[in-house]
Amino acid sequence: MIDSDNAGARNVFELRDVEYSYEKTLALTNVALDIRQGEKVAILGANGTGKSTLLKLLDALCFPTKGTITAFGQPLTEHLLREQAYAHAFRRRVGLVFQDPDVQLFSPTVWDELAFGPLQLGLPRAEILERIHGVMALMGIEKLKDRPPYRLSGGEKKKVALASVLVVEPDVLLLDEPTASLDPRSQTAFIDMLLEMNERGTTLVAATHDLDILEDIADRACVIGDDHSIAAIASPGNILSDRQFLLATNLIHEHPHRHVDRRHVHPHWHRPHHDHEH
Amino acid sequence: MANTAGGEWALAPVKKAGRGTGSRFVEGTLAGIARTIQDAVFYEELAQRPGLLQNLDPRVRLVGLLALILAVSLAQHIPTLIVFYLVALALALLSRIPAGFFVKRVWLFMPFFTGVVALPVIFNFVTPGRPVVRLLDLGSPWSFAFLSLPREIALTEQGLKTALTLILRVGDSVSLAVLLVTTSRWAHLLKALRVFRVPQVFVLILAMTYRYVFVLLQITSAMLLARKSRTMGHLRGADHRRGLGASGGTLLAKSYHLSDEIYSAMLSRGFAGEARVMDDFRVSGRDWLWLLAVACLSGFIIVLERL
Amino acid sequence: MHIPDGYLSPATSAVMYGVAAPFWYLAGKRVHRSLTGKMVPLLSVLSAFAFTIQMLNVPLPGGTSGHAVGATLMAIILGPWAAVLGITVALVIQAFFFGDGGIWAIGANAFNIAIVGSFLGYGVYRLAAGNALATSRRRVVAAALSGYVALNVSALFTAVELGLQPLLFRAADGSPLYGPYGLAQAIPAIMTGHLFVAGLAEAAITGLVIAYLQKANEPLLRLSDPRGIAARSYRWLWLGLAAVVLLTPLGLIAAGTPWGEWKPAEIQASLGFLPEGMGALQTAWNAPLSGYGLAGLGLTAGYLISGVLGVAAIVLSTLLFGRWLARGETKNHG
Repeated sequence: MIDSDNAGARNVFELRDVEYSYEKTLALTNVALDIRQGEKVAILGANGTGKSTLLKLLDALCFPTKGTITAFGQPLTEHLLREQAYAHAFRRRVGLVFQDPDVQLFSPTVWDELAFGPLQLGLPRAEILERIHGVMALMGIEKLKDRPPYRLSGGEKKKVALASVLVVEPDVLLLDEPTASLDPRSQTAFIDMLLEMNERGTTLVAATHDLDILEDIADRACVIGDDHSIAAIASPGNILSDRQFLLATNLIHEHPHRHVDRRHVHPHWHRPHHDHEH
Repeated sequence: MANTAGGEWALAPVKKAGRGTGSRFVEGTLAGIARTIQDAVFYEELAQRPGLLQNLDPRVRLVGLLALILAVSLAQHIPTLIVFYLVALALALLSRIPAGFFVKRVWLFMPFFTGVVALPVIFNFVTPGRPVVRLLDLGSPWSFAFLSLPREIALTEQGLKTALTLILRVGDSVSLAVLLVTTSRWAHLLKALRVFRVPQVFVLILAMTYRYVFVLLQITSAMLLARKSRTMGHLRGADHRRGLGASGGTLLAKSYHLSDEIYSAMLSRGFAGEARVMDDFRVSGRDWLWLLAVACLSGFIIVLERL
Repeated sequence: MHIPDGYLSPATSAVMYGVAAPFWYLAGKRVHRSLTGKMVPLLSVLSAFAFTIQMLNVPLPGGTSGHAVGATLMAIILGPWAAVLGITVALVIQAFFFGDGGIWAIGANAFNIAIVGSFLGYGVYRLAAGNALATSRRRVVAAALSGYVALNVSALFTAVELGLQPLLFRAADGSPLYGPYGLAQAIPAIMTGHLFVAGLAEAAITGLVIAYLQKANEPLLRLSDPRGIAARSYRWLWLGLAAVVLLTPLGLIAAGTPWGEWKPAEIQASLGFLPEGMGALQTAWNAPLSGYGLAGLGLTAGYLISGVLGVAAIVLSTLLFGRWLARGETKNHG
């Protein structure tokens, strides 16, 4: 299924027949997908289907072993990324928030973490200070400024990781499991913040297997199946109502339970941290 | 991974189950990890107190304390070494480092190393000289393989002096190093290393190493706890050795994977192999005063000693 | 084996920084060339790994336990140059951020532990492993052996540096200013602990981790040698080993003057300066030392015999250790 309806808004990404394999293991195959400017797209799939790989391809951290990716109207190649001017321009426009904040928080303090991106991209000193100030205010993390990462809670880490990307002010925000390890309240606040950014024009692409947040964070959902190729691209409503499809793509599962005194079978969402507390 | 706020998970006391030999080693490791993290958290807390050393420019503080450690290594006389210890103690008090902690941190662990090392030196069969205390009369000189003992065992003046010099010198050096560690926020200390022309990339590597020490310690802790709960504390030597190989190997594999991911995260934010660090240090009058005091003190003592 | 500040004279510390510096420089260049930007996170996380592995308690026969250094393990996985940097970084972190080990002694500690440990460990491993398959038992034994040998040679260098202190640096009245023990005392004292405790811990960690990776993560074993385990000439390794041997005290005896019998003029010639009070002491320090060598044999013979005994101890312990390790392995496979 390829979405042909790409008239209207400009495409930020166009993927054609993309395949990626690493050390002879196939991670993604036969991917055709357009991402339009200003939209919200969810990449859905069970663990190990290649969602994270797709985000890394979009962020030019790895490159297709077959097929092409076009970004902002220009083919995205390893060769092009070696040119510093292009690399800087690309890194300013596209930001990726990793699933594991420990991977992303490698600096001595929160302040240094926020300064890292702007420093690497060669922004002037005064602007760096101003942007750090702004993003800390936006996320309400001023009091964490001097903390080392190991003194942050899971939710705080997630916020700082997002802030460290937002400080670069990207046009496209790629998010890997944005709500993993967040408690329900921070999750709502986090999603609200993302939506606000989207309204101001930021394109959002979020990989997730949390179906609860799907309708909030996506206009369109792209489902990747167990065969590492796209199983469907449709509206979140359509996908959530098709139970057979959700079962087939391993996004929900069924198994018997004991509820006090009776056994029954009902479907479950696959949550990032799936636990059975019924 | 235990991911709760502020590393408090590691601050909980490690219970001593003490069943089976294997669990003793696992607990030893767990306790060591917890202690390391506790220390780091405590030092970071001390470094934020408004004390004398904390208020100095990090570069100036580093240079000054290193100069003092160097002066200690140049000192020759016991009174000089005592003066340096009093200076370190005074600096600790003025920097709001708890005196009890400061004295214990140095002198409680010292005997295990330097104390034991220095002990034999005081006897006449190691350091010949004027006997101060006579201990034992063997009747005749005695020798076996590498060892040969004189007829009489005694403590010598020269021996006691040598031992005291060593213990004081090591004690002074460790005290000053502890002052550096407890009055410097490590993010600042890192940037301060730049004064020694340490390349930026090395500073970045140090920063990231320190950062990931904590992540790996957490992973190790979680891994060992999981194994301990599975084995219920009953481990034989061979099982434990296998477990050790698995822990080390898993940790290595995880480290490698982690470094791959971190590299992606760095690239994603514009890293191109060249480290750029920003600091905001400013040297004030107070800092110059400190440097002057350090220079005078060290210079004066060292010169005076040699006259 | 970490030398704290206060045991080495400033001159020795400076010399050791000087000796270590070219290795750091070359290692930086080599690693930078082969790994480019990825070097930064890889070295950082693996230095953190070295720090962490040093915290693992290793149970040893007889109910004792020890800690490993991990230099040989790092060298086997990443190659000796990267290991030099990784272990040095771990030492710097320990000294600067935890107050363990000396700051001015970093040069000496890095030379003994990071540089000698990595290169010797790597060399012995390559020689002992030969062209065996990546998953062969021989590689496990080779890893354990190289860890054991490298750690003990590191300890020997440490002992020699400490043992030189009283020969070179004494106060005007003749009492030693820094480490108080001569070579005849420092070498056996330090080596005993390493031959029987620390060396075994290092061998255990190195061997067991390699054995685990053979089963669970073979690609990691091919990192430092992407072309796979190909037949290679080991001549340069033999040469390197020979050089290390020449640098040890035994080699220095052959090079001319026996230890402890240098004349002040010779020391001045080789060091460029005359240590404090040396002239006056010439007779003073010859007397006690010659009296406490191997009874009646004199220093030179004492060293030769210690050397032979040391090598014998290494060979014997390695054989025993290999069997002990293999026993754990066999049980493991059922």
